[in-house]
Amino acid sequence: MNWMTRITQLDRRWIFLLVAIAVILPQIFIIKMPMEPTKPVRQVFDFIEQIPEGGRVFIALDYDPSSQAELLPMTLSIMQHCFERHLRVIATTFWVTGKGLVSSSFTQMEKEYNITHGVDYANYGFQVGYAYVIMQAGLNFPAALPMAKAQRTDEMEITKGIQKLGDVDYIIDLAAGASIDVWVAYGVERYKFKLGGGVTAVSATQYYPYLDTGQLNGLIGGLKGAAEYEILLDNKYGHMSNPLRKIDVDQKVFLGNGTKGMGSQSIVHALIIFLVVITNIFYFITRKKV
Amino acid sequence: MGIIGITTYYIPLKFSQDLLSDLSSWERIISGFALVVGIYSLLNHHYHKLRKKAPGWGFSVVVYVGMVMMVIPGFWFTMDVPEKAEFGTWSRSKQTLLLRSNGIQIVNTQPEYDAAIAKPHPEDKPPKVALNTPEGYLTAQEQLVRVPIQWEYDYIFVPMQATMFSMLAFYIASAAYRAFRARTIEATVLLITGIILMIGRVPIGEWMWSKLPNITEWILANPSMAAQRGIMIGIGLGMIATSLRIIFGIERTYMGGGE
Amino acid sequence: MSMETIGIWIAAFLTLMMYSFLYQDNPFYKFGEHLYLGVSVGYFICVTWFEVFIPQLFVPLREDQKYILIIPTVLGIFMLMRFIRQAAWISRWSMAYYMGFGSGVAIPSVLLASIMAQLEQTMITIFQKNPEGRVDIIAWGPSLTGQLITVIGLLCVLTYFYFSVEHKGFIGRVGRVGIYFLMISFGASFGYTVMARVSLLIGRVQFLINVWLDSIFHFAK
Repeated sequence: MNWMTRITQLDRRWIFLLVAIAVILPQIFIIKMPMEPTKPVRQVFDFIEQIPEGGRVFIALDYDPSSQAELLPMTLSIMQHCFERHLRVIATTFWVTGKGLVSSSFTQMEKEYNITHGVDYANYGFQVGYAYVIMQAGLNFPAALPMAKAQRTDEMEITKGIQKLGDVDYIIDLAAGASIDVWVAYGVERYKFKLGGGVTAVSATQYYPYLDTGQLNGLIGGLKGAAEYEILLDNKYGHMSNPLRKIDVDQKVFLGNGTKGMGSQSIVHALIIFLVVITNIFYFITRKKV
Repeated sequence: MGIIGITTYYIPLKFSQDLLSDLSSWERIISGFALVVGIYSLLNHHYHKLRKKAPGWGFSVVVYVGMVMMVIPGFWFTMDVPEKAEFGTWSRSKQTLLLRSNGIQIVNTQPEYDAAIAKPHPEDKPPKVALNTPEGYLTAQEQLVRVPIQWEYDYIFVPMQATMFSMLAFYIASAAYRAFRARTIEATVLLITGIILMIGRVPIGEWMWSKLPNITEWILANPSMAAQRGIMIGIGLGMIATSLRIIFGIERTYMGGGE
Repeated sequence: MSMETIGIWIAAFLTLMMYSFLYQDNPFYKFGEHLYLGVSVGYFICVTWFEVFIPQLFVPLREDQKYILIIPTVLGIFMLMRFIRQAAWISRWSMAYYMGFGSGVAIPSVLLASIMAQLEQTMITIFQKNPEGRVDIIAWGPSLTGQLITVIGLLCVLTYFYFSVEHKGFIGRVGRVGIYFLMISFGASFGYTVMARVSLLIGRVQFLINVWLDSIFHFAK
């Protein structure tokens, strides 16, 4: 009984060590596991698939480095998907500390694709105001987002013809906080455009009501969602050549950190479940004996 | 202002929509000043700590050092890679610094430049070389990838913020291990659902039982969604009530209190 | 040695310095924490200047002659008055404008998105049109159980949150069922939260192994 109580009161640093080993080992000895993409992720993928070539996708990267482990893989996959389909990408962020991530995402895309700012993509950086940006852009896009990297909206080829936010073909919000609520309340309900979402796993459960009502037409949740999106992308484009792409298709560029992280995710989850179950069993045994 | 905010939604005429657009842009400018308020508050706190030589004041110096480290390159080189026209107006030393910080080799003669360009290279890794001419740097603009503040962001800010938040993984595992006890029926329901989700949402669950991901998805889309919808409706009603209280002046705590 | 390599080493060093806190609090962690604070403030300052004041204020004022923007500029300066004790009362005008308009636009948006749309979808779940155009109560079909559970769950949860009536008898029992639905939802959130936090750790480990250690040992992935 003594040893059971001691185990339930183990120094937390031993737990830290176990978690660290459970995360590190699968990254060194890669575990490949099958994964079937789920319906909410497919909905985003399928919607982008049906946008005609030359269409424009607006991505709001509403996160910062604290959530980039989950949301950056989705960002890169969605951008890759758009460029594979010869769609044009407009991106911005409502988080001050997310501005650098928008720039580095496009820098990564410039390494992989022959794209030009102002023609194939537009980096609007940080936009202050959150709901007010959405409300203003829904009415007057050039006034709300006047400049992208020192180029004026009304002078860029990519934004030609965009008078309001609803003129783009799809809007995706990649959110670490509650920005999906803001996009739905101030955007979808007012201006009736199509919105897809990518969220951290922490907030994924609270957006299923929006999926049910159709206010969100797809949801990518957490690192698993990012991995599913990468698999969908690899299945469709992994063996196709593309004149826009700089990198050789054999390099498996579509399977990024999302897929690579699933081995660690599985092992850590199994470890945590084992620890919780074992301590509960020991707790009940020791309680009964007392 | 509150009444205007409500009525612009219900008036579809152009003057109402223009008013909404203009007032939204005003709110955005005021939000910018609110950011300044936040910045000032933080710096002021550490300034007072420094002045009073409070315990740990040395670390407040580090705060100011970090701030200066970002502000000086940010303002001198700007936040984004400059366009050709802007780059050409910079002083030669500033241009050289930016090229070198991007790992671009600067050569002074045409034959050296041609030799460097002619070297075989993959399509995604063009040669990083610039020719120094009296008119400016040749074929340098396309090689610029990053400004110094972006380098600091990528290699100082990102690792630190990401690491600080990643430590939560250890704490959640330790907290679940030490504190999560199924003492009541409700806690047991929570624990069982949590376990189903944790296993069902990772590939190991799919490997154990192919139907587990479907069960997980069903839980998320039905009972969990029902509860979340109830919470959402409750929060929505609370937000509307609070907004009405602010508009009618019943709620004034946001003004900061005092006389 | 390129700037990228130097950067990777600095990033790895800072990462390990922050992780040292897991063993115990130490000066390295405190240094890293304060450096992070300073660097964030510096970044905030640069972004506020280049991404807010220049495109939203200075360019419209200078190039487009939108002199009406002087009004929000003055309101913004009023907000900064809160730091001067004698003039702090002026900042209340800015706050009143900011909060007033914000509250006003929130009401119809939240009403539609969080309440009306959700209730509408629940009613559609209960009353559905069949192919002949008649309205059925709960369409019989493969998703019947899920639909029933969604509707019952929502009603039970809303009953639980209704505190104007004492939770006794029938209301009490319905509220109890609502608690179980909430526990299922919180259990799902707990599972997902564990997943999210672990993902953040995986991200850092991927950097340390696939970027930093790979730059030294060049093992293929």
